[in-house]
Amino acid sequence: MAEHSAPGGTTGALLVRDVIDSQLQSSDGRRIGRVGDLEAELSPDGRLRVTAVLVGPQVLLGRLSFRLREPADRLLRGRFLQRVAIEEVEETGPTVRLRGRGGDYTTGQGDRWVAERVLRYIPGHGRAPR
Amino acid sequence: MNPRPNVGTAPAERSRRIHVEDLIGAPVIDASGRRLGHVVDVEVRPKAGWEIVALVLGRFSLLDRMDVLRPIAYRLGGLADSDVVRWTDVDRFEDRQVRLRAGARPVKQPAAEPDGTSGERHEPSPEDAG
Repeated sequence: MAEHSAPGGTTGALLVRDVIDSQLQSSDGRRIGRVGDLEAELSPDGRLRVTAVLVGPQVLLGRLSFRLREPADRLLRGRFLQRVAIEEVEETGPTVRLRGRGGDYTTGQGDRWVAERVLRYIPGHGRAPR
Repeated sequence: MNPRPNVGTAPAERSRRIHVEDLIGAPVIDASGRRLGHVVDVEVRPKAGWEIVALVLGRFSLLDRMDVLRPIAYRLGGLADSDVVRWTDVDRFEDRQVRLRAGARPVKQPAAEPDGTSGERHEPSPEDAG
């Protein structure tokens, strides 16, 4: 992770650009999606804190243009939007490691659904190459 | 203690959620309305409750975000420093525009040297070879 000194010389800061699009990995090594965006909360006292990692196609549409976010929200109704509380993040870097196991998160369900319902019927699925 | 930014024109009584990607690309203006640049990155301090502490400015918005200019700037010099605005110097963020407090100015900060990747690079060491 590229560390960046904050103004005033404090350290331990990281740049959002180095987190966005990073692979999300659970503690048991399962890849469960990529960081699409971060959600932040602007509190009445003016502090801005990151509260969640957002994953899903509508997040990516919102990144293309913020104007696409509202139509995407209306169309998809949040069905594919996944939030992972920022407290779950244990380590950042090219891979963002989470504290919980893969089954603890709803992210990556689409991949699991495809693997269990579609790929299992494809000849050769699940056999290791010799 | 530093003053904190306002939530917006409405009374600052409730928290507001934002997407961090909405900040990136937003124009930054000073209190007199003069445009200072665009937000190209955001500094976060995970060890301080994931608080957003600063905005990194660029002059060319999308090109800066895509890292098109940084390698060139390093070759030619002159643009190698980043302008950084402390979040405490932000008066408000609304309508996808960041307005600074009266008297607040960006500070120069050496930009991280571009290496063509995000995150850590692992250089092969003699131990790896052996």
